[in-house]
Amino acid sequence: MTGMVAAFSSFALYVLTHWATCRARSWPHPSRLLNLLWLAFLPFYVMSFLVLSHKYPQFAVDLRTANGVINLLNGLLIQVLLLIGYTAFFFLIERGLSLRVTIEVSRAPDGRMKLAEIMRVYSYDYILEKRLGQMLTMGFWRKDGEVFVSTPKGRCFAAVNKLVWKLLRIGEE
Amino acid sequence: MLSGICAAFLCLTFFILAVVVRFQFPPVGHRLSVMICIWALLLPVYAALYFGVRAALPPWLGCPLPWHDLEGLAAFLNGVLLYALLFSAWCYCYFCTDHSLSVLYMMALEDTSTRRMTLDDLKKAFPYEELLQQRLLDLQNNGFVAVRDDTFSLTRKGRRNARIAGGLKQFLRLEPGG
Repeated sequence: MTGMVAAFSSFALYVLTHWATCRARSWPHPSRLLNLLWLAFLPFYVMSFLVLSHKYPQFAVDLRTANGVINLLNGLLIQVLLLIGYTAFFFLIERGLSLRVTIEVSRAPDGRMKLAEIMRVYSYDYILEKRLGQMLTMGFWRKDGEVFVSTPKGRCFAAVNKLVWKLLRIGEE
Repeated sequence: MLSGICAAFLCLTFFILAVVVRFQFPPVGHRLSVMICIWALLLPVYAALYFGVRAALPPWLGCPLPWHDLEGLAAFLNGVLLYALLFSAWCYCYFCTDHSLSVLYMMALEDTSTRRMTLDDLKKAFPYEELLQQRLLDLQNNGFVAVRDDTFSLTRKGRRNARIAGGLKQFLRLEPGG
């Protein structure tokens, strides 16, 4: 239980810090910020685990035993999974195409929009610029003049996704 | 504690296998609902696996039974939590593959004979109007958007969603985003 409590408390603090950082200024690479900040909070997780274990008898853990080490690693696993969940949530808010469309419609003067109007306020060039920029930054593609070419990393990523599409029959219905 | 961790991962394996098998038989319907249903149906399997693994582990790695004390109950619930978090991680990966435009572009580029594409090629391969229409249809099917006379408006659910997400986006200074 010690790992679980330490993981949740340190992750809550991580989320609050991330929010404060986002409010302080805009960041060009949000995913880098998410990950670096999370790594910076790992020592805090270990510290809260040790404090809980030493100060409160109900959370006492002996790290010299296998069960104690498993407890510590279990908390770390929870931290990783919480980060994945939070990343999904964050990028849904930040990058979700459908969400942006609903926000644009909600902000229309009479709360109604035609397709052409949505296309005007939310341009394709903006969408492409963001996605392609990210793919270039992450090294999935590189630019050869005006042409986009995939890198070995991008080819591998595309192949894995193609396999998942085939396996789960995505896009067939 | 180890029994909960092992049971959660074993249960996730069964979950993925069940999802793969179910998706082989269309029509699947609302995919997220189907996955949630399979996840929930496997909860009793988690319980069975927990006790199975617990019995198989050596005593020095074991933990008390869930109804004996708080430590035993916490170990059991820790496995349930892991199983839930693993499910959310799976959903993230699944929807990245299913919905991400970047993934779609990457797969399209690999399908070309030269493995090279310009911005115009991408725009031709994925016309914006079609793409947006598909998303609006998704939003309509999920009850976020209503269509009348070719005009889109938000349903109550859509307005609530836009208000919460829009507020959060504003708070985190992520606007306009998307």
